Amino acid sequence: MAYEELVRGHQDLAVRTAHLIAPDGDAEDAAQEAFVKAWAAIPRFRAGSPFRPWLLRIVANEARNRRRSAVRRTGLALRVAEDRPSGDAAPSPESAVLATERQATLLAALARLRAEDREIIAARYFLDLSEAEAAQTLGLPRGTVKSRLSRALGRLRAALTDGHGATDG
Amino acid sequence: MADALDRLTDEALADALRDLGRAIAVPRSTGGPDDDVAIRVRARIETDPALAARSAPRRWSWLGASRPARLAVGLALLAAVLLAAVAAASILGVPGIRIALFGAPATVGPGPTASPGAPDGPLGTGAGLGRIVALADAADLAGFEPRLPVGLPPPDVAWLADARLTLVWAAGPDLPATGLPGVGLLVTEFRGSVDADYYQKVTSTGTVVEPVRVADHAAYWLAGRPHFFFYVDPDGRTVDDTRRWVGDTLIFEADGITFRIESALGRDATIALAEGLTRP
Repeated sequence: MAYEELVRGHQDLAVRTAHLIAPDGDAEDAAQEAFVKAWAAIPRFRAGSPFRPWLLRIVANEARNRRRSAVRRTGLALRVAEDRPSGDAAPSPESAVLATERQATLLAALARLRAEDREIIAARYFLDLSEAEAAQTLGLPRGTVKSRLSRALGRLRAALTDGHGATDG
Repeated sequence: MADALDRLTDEALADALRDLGRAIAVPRSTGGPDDDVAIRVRARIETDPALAARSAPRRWSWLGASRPARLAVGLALLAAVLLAAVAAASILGVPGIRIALFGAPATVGPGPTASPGAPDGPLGTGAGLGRIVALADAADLAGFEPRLPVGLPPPDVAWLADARLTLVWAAGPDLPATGLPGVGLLVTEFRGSVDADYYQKVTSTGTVVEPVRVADHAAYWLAGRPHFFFYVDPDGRTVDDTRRWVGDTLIFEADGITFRIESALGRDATIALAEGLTRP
């Protein structure tokens, strides 16, 4: 079945997307449901348009629906992998600790943002989508991606500042 | 560190976020080889009655079921088979077929196109081509006189699915192997016309859709990386047409018959072969 191969080629990205949009939910289950819905929606797929953002839109909607129906929790269930793949050079223990702290600080600041701010940041920086792909995935007019991202980053900076004061104060 | 983070330039903040993105753990199930999203999706589609009807190979396998098997499942399934046959005919033969065509994702290997091993059964087995018929009977069964390429021996196998005839030649010195085990050439012929307007709109990553000409007929050359085809039939149902993995494809219509030629010969040789199709 060709569709199975198509799913296999996109499943990691789909699960990742579902997890970033609804960190508290079962991302694999959301992705699976999205692939089934995508299969049923192929008749509405516009020939010639790219598949990836079309699929991610369905994944994002599925994840959002689950997020809405889930009990809201404070904080964000995103976390940094303990065995993250190392970069080009193995960092010294000190710099590894600093990098982990820095990531924890960023995550804490992200957790204080609204969902739509987190989504646009995740789409552009965590999923590395182009502006056009991010727009389609999140269901935004293409022209608003840049301004929305800019505002989200502004609020992230504010959250980083606030977080700093709160932590140290 | 926060004091450093909140004073980063936009670019440095973006880098820090990308870094964070790479480090975020995505929880995955750690089950066995069956515990895979793709396998579970396939199982869902195949077991959900509303979705399962959308898989063409499955439908064709029903059509190919043995007579005792059909009798065993009774009138209800027979009715379903007949309905499916009608649906299949309308998918394959009428103008206005829509095709959603996706390029293969980067992580997928060449797939069947790279495994031209020995055929398991008659040439073309497993490609959803229907049932084997004698070439001498093909005209009566298909309702039109099939055309054959000049300069080639008669086809090794002729398959019929509804009124769609597929002639299959074995791979050999003159016919390089396609993605179907042992097969060097498939010529599919059926009544109906190519939806020219539609083909012109079709593009996809990694797949070339090139308007060409076969004699004085408009034709389309589909080539490139292995591509997935999903037909959308006139009833709006999705049909997973896996047999389109066979190879590069030339499609055109002449005198009310649509021809689909799948080979590994390359564009120009395939067009030359198409121009040499004649009634025997």
